[in-house]
Amino acid sequence: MTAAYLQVSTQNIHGRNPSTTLLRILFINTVCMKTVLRQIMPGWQHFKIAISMILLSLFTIACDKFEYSPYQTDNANRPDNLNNKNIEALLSAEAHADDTVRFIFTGDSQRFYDELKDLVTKANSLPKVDFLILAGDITDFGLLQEFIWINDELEGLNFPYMAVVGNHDLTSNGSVIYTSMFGQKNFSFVYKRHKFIFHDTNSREYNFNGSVPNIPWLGTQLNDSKADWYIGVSHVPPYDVDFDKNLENPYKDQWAADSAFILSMHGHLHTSGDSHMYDDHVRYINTAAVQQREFILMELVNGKINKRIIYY
Amino acid sequence: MKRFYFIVILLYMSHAMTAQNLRKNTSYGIQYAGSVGFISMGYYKHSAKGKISIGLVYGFTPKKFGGPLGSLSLKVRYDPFHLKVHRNISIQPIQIGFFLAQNFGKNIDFKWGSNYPKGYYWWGSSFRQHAFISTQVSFTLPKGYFSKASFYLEANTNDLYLYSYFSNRNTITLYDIFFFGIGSRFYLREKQAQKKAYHRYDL
Repeated sequence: MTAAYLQVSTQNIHGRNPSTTLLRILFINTVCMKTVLRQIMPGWQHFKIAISMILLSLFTIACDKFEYSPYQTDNANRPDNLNNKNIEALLSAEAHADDTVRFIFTGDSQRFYDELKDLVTKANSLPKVDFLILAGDITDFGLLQEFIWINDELEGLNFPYMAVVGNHDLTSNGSVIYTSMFGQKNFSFVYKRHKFIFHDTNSREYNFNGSVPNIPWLGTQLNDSKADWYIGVSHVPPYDVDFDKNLENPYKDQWAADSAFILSMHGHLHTSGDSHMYDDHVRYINTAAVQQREFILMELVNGKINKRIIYY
Repeated sequence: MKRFYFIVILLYMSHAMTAQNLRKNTSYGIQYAGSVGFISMGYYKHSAKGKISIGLVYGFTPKKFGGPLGSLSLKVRYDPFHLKVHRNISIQPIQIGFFLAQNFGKNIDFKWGSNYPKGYYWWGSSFRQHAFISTQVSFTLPKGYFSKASFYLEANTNDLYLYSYFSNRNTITLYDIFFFGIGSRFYLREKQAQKKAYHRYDL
């Protein structure tokens, strides 16, 4: 019976406009439905059928696929408070680990999803990694979808990850999205007596207003009884033009004044670098971007830093 | 480029707003989602056969749904196929088009601020170019203010999503970058205008 309807409707198509026959055959389902409807349904019943067909197709589309704006800050698929959740997961496993802090340091994942996927595969193949640090520029355009796509890839990791905020993440509504999806822009945690201080150094995004980086807050993070060593994690390094020039000296002096502060880690430059930039005891390490297909495997043992660049 | 688009919008509006054209080939639209706002309203003009339509759409997203955000867009749609399935019902299985959206919001800068050197960020801060594909069913209404009502399901993507798609062919799929919206358009009946013209000749 269906075959007969198919034939009838094909004839209809040919009769109407031979030049678009091929394209119209693509919609044979629609036309076939028409023939069937004509046989079994009179008048306004068509209305109900067509509406229910649209409704049926609507149910197959996930909620978060209805986008209100590319700039929207929330949807049904957005995770919340990722940094805190991941820190909790990391600390709950602390008791079973050895005393070496072993983590992957990478940054600037902005729009490099293919490369990030390979990074996750490579990272999962390394033994005994505790966590991953993403040094900012999670996204390229600060859009909600980008945050979600990056998190979708990083969820493939066998261990937790934490991300600091980058300058691209602060464009458009990115600041609001980062705060609700990852948490506070300045935060810290202590793992195996090493304190990691994540903070916002994207001074240019705040028009160099003198409050970013928040140096008084950074001061309060030092002298923690639970920690022996301190590590700073931020996106823009103090020696870059996007860092507030008026705050460069107070910033690096504060680190240099504390002998327990051993390491300052950054992204933003898309090249790897490693130096005692200000001729003091603090080591400044810069990671390449995800795009360059390399990341740093860091090992901290009692304040001693071991570093290995891994290509993938 | 942006200036050019605005000139096009102004020219189009000045044409559409003349009294004679105000009711002719006109439809009003209302839409849910579809990347122009939680809810949006449009004013469209059509070609004589109704295959090409061009319109202005204003959309709004309240705080509860990830806003507050506003957008004003110029929307152009081409309906190549009209399949009549019944005396009163026709289906437009595939429609294609684009819309150019100017977005407004507290954190959406109209253009990049003076704190950035020129070209620091290469993409537009608030102006998005979207492409869409949609499918529609239309009902002819026997009487009343509107002559036709149509309901459509639309999938759109924008310049930044497309750019992400083309540079990540292993991870980002077409389904990832397309987002949906549903809406309807109501076509104004032209009968009243014709009646007036008839009376004029009669006198």
